[in-house]
Amino acid sequence: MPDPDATWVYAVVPAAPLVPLSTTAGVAGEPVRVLSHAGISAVVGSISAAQAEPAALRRELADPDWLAQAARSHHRVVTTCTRSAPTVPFRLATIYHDDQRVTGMLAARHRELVAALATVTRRAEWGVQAFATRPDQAAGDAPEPAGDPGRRGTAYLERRRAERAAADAWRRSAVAAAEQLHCRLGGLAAASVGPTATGRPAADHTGRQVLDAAYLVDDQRRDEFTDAVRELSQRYPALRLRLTGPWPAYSFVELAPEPAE
Amino acid sequence: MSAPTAGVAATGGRVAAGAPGEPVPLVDLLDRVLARGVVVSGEITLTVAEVDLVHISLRTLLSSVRPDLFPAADPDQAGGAD
Repeated sequence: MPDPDATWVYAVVPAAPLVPLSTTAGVAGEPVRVLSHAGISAVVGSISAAQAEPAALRRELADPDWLAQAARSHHRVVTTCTRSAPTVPFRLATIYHDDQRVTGMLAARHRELVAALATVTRRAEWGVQAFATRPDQAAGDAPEPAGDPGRRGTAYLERRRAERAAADAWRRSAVAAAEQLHCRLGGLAAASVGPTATGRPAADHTGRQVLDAAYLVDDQRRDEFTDAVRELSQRYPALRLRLTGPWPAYSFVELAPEPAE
Repeated sequence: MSAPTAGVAATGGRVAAGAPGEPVPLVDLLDRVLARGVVVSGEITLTVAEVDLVHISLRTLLSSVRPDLFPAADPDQAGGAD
């Protein structure tokens, strides 16, 4: 009889010390467990095999309420791990047919997972986003010039051109400032991704976001890093900054593509 | 401090951030759990491309129907951002 369960992978941690997970529930409310192989452990939970079918999963992922709940549960398990051990977080919805295949993955990707664990040890991820502040909009509110209609039309076009040029210059300066800021923060970090996160579409539909970066920062440099963000926000008035973190190192655990089977 | 907690750091100056202890904004969370994290082929997982697609369409959906979930989208209008 086939196993009625499938195995959801949350993260990989060193096998010892064991992460205290007994009180943590997973995405399906299931108890979270640990599968170990050769000194590393996968933190996993059992979900029903029916729920793990691609069609069912696709339906659930398309449901914002389910997705929000699953994302929060997944993240809660990963965060619980980070409190007691270096943690390599897995992407949401990484599911195997059974436990044995997970330990098979631990064996097959052992070297890379050990390297990833070393990368994230005593470090946390911080997110920094920068948005161009609004240019001075006074020009747009200027009263219509008096005079003959033809003159007014020309003045209007000139004014629009000047506004566009000012907006372009303002945006260019915001982009330049974001690059300098990214360079400075990157110098304080063990690794960074940015200035826009790995070529994904910009988070911001207004087009004002000029930085969406992540930094992997040594725990002992945490204050130095957050102080630098604060200081930079004062140095670059063209930018408004948003700092998030500390995060599990979601952005710094890319493994090499898998060998073809 | 060596124990990362998942929160949004509050800092002074002109850095917009939530208060400490606030739940992580969903949009930031989805950006990480759907678009980042280790990808190894599970056997019954969706392909990476499919998950990326979910991420992108969800962002579009959420930003149009739930702007409150997008504190990042327009900090000028976010309450108490400064």
